[in-house]
This record gives sequence, C-alpha cells and structure tokens, in this order.
Amino acid sequence: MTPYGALEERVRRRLRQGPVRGLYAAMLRGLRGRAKAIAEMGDYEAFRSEARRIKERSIERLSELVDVFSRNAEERGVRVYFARDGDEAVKIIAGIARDARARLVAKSKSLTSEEILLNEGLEAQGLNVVETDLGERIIQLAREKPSHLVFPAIHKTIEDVSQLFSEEARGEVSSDIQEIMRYVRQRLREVFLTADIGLNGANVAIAEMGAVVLETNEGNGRLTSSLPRVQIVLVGMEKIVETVEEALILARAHAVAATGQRLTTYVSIMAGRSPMAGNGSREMHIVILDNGRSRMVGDDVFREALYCIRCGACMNVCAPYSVTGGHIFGHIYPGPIGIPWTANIHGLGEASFAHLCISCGLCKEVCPISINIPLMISRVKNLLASRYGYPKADRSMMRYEALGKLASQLAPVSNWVLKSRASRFLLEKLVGLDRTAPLPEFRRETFVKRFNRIRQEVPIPRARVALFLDFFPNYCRPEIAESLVIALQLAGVKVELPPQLTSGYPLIAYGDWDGAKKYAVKNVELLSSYVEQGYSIVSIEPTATYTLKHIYPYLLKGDERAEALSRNTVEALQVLRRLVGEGVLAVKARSEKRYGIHVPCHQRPLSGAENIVALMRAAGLEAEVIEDGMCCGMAGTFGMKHGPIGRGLSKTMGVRLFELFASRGVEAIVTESSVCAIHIEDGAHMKVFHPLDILYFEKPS
Amino acid sequence: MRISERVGLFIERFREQGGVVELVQSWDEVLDFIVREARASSGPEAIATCDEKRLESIRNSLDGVSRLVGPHAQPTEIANCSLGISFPEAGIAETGSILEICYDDSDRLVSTLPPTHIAYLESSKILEGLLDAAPLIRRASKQKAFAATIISGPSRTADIELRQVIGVHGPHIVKVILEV
Repeated sequence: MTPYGALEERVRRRLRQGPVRGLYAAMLRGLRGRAKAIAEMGDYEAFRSEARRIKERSIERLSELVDVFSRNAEERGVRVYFARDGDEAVKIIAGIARDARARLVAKSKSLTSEEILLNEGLEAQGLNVVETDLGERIIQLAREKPSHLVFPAIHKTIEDVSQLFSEEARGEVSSDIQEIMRYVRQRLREVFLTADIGLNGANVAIAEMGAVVLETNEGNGRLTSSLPRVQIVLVGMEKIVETVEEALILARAHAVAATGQRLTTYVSIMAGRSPMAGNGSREMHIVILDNGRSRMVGDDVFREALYCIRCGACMNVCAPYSVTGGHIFGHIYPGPIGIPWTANIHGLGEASFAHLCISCGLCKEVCPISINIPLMISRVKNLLASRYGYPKADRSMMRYEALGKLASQLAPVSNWVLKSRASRFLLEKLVGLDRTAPLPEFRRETFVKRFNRIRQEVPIPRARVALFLDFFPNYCRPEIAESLVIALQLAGVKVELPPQLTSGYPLIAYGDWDGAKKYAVKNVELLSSYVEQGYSIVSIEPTATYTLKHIYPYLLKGDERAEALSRNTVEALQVLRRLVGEGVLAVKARSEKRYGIHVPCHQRPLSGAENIVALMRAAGLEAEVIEDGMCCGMAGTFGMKHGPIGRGLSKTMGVRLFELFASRGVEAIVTESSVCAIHIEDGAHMKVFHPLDILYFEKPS
Repeated sequence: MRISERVGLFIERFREQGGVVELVQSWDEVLDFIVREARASSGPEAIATCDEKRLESIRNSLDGVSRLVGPHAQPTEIANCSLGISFPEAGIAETGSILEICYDDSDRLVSTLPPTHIAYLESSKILEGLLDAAPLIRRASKQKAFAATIISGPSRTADIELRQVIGVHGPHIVKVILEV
C-alpha cells in the first residue's frame, strides 16, 4: 500500500468513529485564549514582527550562537555536548546516566526528546524514566504518543485516566478529578525526591549567559531541574537566542499563542548548577541536538521551520487536524508545523500526512512568528509527488482550468451531464470527483464574453482598475463580476479586463510548484503593464486576491513586478466600500433578511470581514459574523475530491460551522468565496449569497 | 506608567491569574500576617529564605506558633512544610508576575514544594514590563550559577478533559504580601 493509501485508510477509520473527542474544545479554548491575550497587548503585530526578527537573527547566526552558548555554559562548570543526530544524543544521555549510576529519571515534558525516542533509548538501558507532566504521564502509561502539543492526553476521558492510574497504583484511583490529582501529586512527589536524574528540554536557550529557559504550568519543571543531583537538558540547537531580552519576548509569545496566558505560570531561567543546601557536588549537562537542523538552515524553504517556538497555535486552527487528531495528522511532531519538521527530521516517507493539509493558510495567520507553514507544506507535497506521484484526484483537480473552460463551452449540455448520476459515477471512478459533491453550474457566456457588452467609456475617470477574475466569476458566476463593473462605472471608474489566467492556487494546494510558478509568471507578465500604467488590480475571489498578494511574491522571490502586483492588488469590496465612504456611490439592499457572514480563510489575512460588514450595515442590513475561526472544510477543490481525504473529511469539518449557523437563527448566509458558498449551502441547508447578489449600488441622491 | 498604576496593574493581573494579594503598610503587619497564616495552616512547620535580619524577626514572631526551617534546608524538610515564605526580587505589572532569583536550589524549593507560597514584595519593586526584568537577570548571571523564576500564580493544569485544576506540583495558593 502506498503511504497515501495507508493514510486514507486511517482517515476512513477515524471518520467512521467521528472526530477525536475533546480535541475541538481544546482547540477552541486555545484560540479564544489567544485572542483575549492579544486584545490586551496593544500593538500585537509589532510584537509579532519583533518575535520573528529574533528568530530570523538567531537562525542566521546559529553556529556562532551555539559556540557562544557552549562557551558560557562551560565556564559555569556545565558539561556541554553536541549531538549530530538522535542516536548520538541518546548515547550521550545514557552515558551520563551510567556514570551517575542512575536508575530513576524524572522527566519534564520535552518534544525534542520525543523526536529522538529518548525514553525508549533510556529504558533499553534499564533506566526507569517517569514523565512528570500530567498529560505526558497519562500517555506514557497508555503507551501512546501525544495527540496535541499543549494537551497531549486530550483524547483520554477522565475514566480512561482513572483506570490508567488505578493500574499503576494497583488499587483504585476513582474518576474524581481531585482524587486523581491527590494521587498524582503524591506519586510524583516521591519520584521528584528520589530521582537520580532530572531531565528536561528547553523552550529557549540564552547564548550571552549560557542559560536555558524552561516553562511549565504544573511546576514539574522546577522540581526536575532542582531536586535531582544530576540535571540533563536536551536542547534543539534552533532554540538558542543571543540575549535574555530576546528569550523573554519568545517566552511571552509562546504563552500568548499556546494558551492565552500572559506567561506560562513558571518561567525558569537557569545557568550553571546551583548548590543544594550548600552542597555543590551537583552536575548539569546540556546536550545540543542537531539531527538535521543544520541542513535545514541551508534550505531556503524549510529554514523557517526552525523559527517554531512549539506553541501549538497552528494545530489549534487546523480544521482537518481537529477531526483526525495528532495521531493521524502527525508522525512524532503533530499538526501543520509537524509536516515540514517530519519531512526534514524523520524523512519524507513519514510526512505523507501532508496530504491532510487543505491549504487554508490559517496556520500562518495564527503563528506568533508568522512562519510560512502553508508554503512549506506545499513544498513537502511537491517532494512527495516527486517520489510517489500525485494522488489521482489531486491530479484531476489541478486541471481545473481546462475542465472549466470545456464545461463552459459545452454548457448547458455539460451541466446536464454533471447532474446525471451515471456520468457522476464515471467521473468519480475516472477523475476522483466525488459523485455527491455539489458542483456549480457553468455558463456558456463567460464574463470575458460579456465584458465588451457592459464596458463603458469613462472620459475622465476617477480611478482606473483592471479586473482579475479567477475561475468562478468567469465561468460560473459572471453576474457577480457584472454587478461590480456596473457599480464601478457608475462611480466614474474606468474598468479594463486584461488577458489573464486564473490564479493557479489549486496547484500550490496540491504541491505542483513548477505548474504554479508558470501561472505566477504568466499573470505577472499579463497584469504588470496595467500596474505600470497606474491601474489597481481588483480581484473578486478571496483566494485569487490572496494568491496575487501573498503567493506570487513568494514563488517569484526577488521579482520586482510580482511585488508591485502584490502591492497594487485590491479586494473588490474594498474598492466599493471606499467609493461608498467617499459619497460617490450609495449602497442598497435587494432584500431585508437577517444574514450570517462567513469569512473565507484566505480573506483573513486580507480585510477579514471589515468590508462586507461595513457595506451591509451601510445598506441597513443586519449582519453578524459567524465563525469558529477555522476553515469551513471546503478548501477550494479539496471538498470535491472523492474519498476520506476529500469529501469525507470536508463534510465532517463543516458540520460544526453548519450547526453554528443553524443555532444563530439567521435566514441566509453571505460570503465572498464561491466555493465556500457551494459547500455551506449544501451542508447548512441555507441559501448562501455573494455580497454582490444582495447589494446594489446607485448614485447618491 | 506611574508607580500607582504599576501597582494597580500588578494586583489586577496577579489576581486574575489565581494569585492572592494582601496589602500591608509595615514590616510588623507582614509579621502579623505570617503568624496568622502559620496558625491557620494545617502542617506543623513554616519555612523562610531571606537575609538574617528578617529571618530572626520572623523566627521570633513564630515562636510558639510554628517552627522555622532554613534557609538552605534539605529538600525533604522543605517538602514537609505547609508554608514557604520567599522574598522576590521584583514584581512585573505587565504579566502579573513575581521574579525570584536564587543561588541555591533549596531556596527555589521554598516557593515550589509547600502547598502555600507567601511572597513578600515592596511596591517600589514592581516593574512595568517583562523586559524590565532583564537587567536583574543579567546582574544575577554574574554569579557562577543562578536560577531566576518568573511566577505568575499558583501551579495549574487542564490536562484531563480541560478541567482546570489549581495546585499540581507547585503551590496551590500563592499570596503576595505587598507593602505599599
């Protein structure tokens, strides 16, 4: 079975069982906590930029910082080791334990130790390794892997936990939370007091003073790092920064993004080995781990993964992860950032869970370091395709432009064919298009064909815009683009329709970088002359706008024209809102309803809901944004693909949002994304409109 | 930010995070508070880490109420105490935290092992922002070894079904006696 086939099987099983219990609630808790903490911080974006600059600087100077850190720690009497890979790190740590004649190791949660299977390595040497973080202890007893970075045992019920501890205690530990906590406290207190070695990771390391920073909420890190005679710290080399100020900023960024705390309850900054009650015969060992990190520094795409501070925010916003959990959406490193980490540290063969990524891009938006996780994932998909080929449905979906053109040329016959059960069955078998997925109707008269009919000369234009259409407004919803052009011309704006391709985003979503670059090069070439003449490029579909603004400059790094195109691309509703604000246009509602607004993922780094809310309110409509902060599950063409990694997952992801819409008592839904609209209308059983369906524009009276 | 604003913000945020703040106006009131806490606590012992002058006055106040252990007591002794009294270097208003700097790990245990942690802080020591703590940590780093800990309330977990539990391996109760 191919890795993709095996992944499909696991997702299919998960879908039959339903989403991982408790996980969605944990994710929402993280997201809401984060939002609250950010609201209190004032200029969060400036803080975020500073945090990113710190990581950029540190990785740029990594080998120098490793040297400075090592020298400063050694000057304090600390033994510092450099491990090239996981095996070497395990050997070093086992050697320290042997020299110390250790039997019992009290360990504080460390993802880096999981990366190198440290517990297994030490246990093979006869050591008793006890995890002391509650969640980690639970999964250690269950012999499982963490399913979430911050809440590793979130998939376990309190009854599961009581059973695990009862087995350990060889007596009953009831499922009362306080009794469980009493037991854990007592049991682990013995471990802390009698352990020969305290083993922990480091959230950050500070070169200027050879110090490590350890954050825990439970206080276990303080005990593992103080009580045992021998302390061992395993540090991924990417954790080193230069100064204590930088470390404090990262500690703050970590807490805010992970749980919404201002800081983790205990942030310990430790340098050298302090005496215990005056007794100085104590040891500190620091093992700096490379394990592929140096190679990543030299990789233009994957270097950014080293900026990760392990807050887990990216998994809190990831809709497919919310269904599958970290055991499927992960190898050892779970979630979105786990994909580039796994591909680089554990090998591409373990990273096939990249196919679960729906390319919504939200992981980058919540990342406190603004790591471009989506494009690293796309790159992993690209490498997977080179090794294993593209999954059938992905290959078909990447031909969307040719298929759309054909369907449009053959309309209305194509629409009839697409409604026939027999042809849908065949399409499912042949191209992987799910037979139950709702499809748009194709128009024979595309917008490109309509444009000359509606185009007006504007002798003294107030502004000049060039339309960027993308797939849906051309082939399926030309009336939206038409409404836009009519409104713009009414306001005295000159509108042109340059020759263009669609955005090509599906190719990025499925990992065809060469193909996506061709789209980027062509569109930049076609649109640039308009940009140079002072036209704004006005884009209707959020994904197309996002591609022009954020993807092309990345794909065509250093290309001035791509940068200029990005700067001059504007959302259609933003232009309309400006014209209304300037009193050039008046906005009116076609019908009075209570609307719920859905914000498409790719619109979040653009205007979010600002423009749509402002225009609807100006038209006297009641409008409420309804969201859980995650993707609706459609994710472009992902929800049209047959199979568990497609329509199956897509429907399950959507259910929660559909229920949310139903619970708010709205009469209809409005969204700017055409694909989200198809999915939500199908799932929520509610009419979904584009804002330009329900709004119209007039000259102010 | 004026000192009164800093103090106000510190109190508000430390409390929000599950900590307790008691205001006092003199060292005598601090001693009274410690005696009350020692009387109310279930265990037989209290513990302090501080300079000798303060140690003596606490010991004298606790005479007949509770035994004072330390500074620099053995971990097992500290583990048997019901109360740990520490003297942080600073408070941090922005994050509602206290900053402790220790040069002996038994001092760290005072604010870790006993179920109740009492921290005495003068309001003049409250800093505005987290980064204002950096010079204090850098000063400590001149010593061969140190541990600086920023504490933002009692220890906590939500690892089981997201149920918030206060008091895990660290103290269940953290009280700052703030001299204003």
